[in-house]
Amino acid sequence: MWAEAAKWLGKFDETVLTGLDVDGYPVSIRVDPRNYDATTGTLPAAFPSTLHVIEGPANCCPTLTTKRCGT
Amino acid sequence: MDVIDNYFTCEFTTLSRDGSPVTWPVTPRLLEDGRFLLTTSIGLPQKAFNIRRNPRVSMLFSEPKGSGVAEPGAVLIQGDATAEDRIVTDVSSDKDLAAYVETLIIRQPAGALWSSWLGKQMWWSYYMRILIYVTPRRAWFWPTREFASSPEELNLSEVRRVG
Repeated sequence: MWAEAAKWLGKFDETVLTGLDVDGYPVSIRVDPRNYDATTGTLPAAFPSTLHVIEGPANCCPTLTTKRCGT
Repeated sequence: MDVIDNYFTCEFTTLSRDGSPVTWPVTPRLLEDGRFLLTTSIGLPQKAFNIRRNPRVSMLFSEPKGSGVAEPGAVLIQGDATAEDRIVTDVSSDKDLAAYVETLIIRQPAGALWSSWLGKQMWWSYYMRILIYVTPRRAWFWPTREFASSPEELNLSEVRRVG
C-alpha cells in the first residue's frame, strides 16, 4: 500500500499536509512529497511550534496545478 | 494581503466523522464582513456533512501559480464554518454568490463547458449549491513559502479590511 502511495506522491511537486492543533482546528503546511518513505509509510515534516500541532490523525493532499477547484 | 485576493485556490480542510482532516482545493471569496464564502454541489456534499458535525475548518492559501503575486507567501486561516440548509439554484439570487461565480468564471475559463446546454444536462447537480460561510478565528502569514519557519499571527481586522 505504501509503495502505491509513494508512486502517486512522486507525481506531485508538493503536498499539503494537515494535522490538528491543541484547540482542534486543522493546520496545513506544504511539504516535499519526495521525502515520503515507502517502506514505513511516513512523511517527515516539521510544523512550526507556534502552530501548536498535536499528535493525531493527519492527511496529505498532493497538489500540482490549480486546474481543479471549487467542486 | 495579495495572497487572499489573488491566489486562485486554497486548500480547505474539514474534519470527518472520526476526526481525521479531509482537504480539498477550493476557490473561496472574502466577503465585506470578513467571512469567506465557498460553495459545494449537492452531488459532493461531504464538506457540508463534516461542517455540520464539527464546524472547525482551515484554509491554506499557498498556491501562487497564475496569481501574478510577485513575492508569493502563504496564509493559513482557521475558523468556524456553517453549511446552510437551503439549496441555491439561482446564483443571481445572492449578490455575494453572484460575485463569487464571476470570480470562478474568470479564474477557471475551461469551466464554460459546465455552463453549456450539454454540461447542464449531464451535471445538473453541479448547479444546485450549498453555501458555506467561514468565520476566521485565527490567521497566520508566511512572507515566503518556507513552511518550516514560524508564521506571523495576523490581526483578524487586517483580513477583514481586504474584504
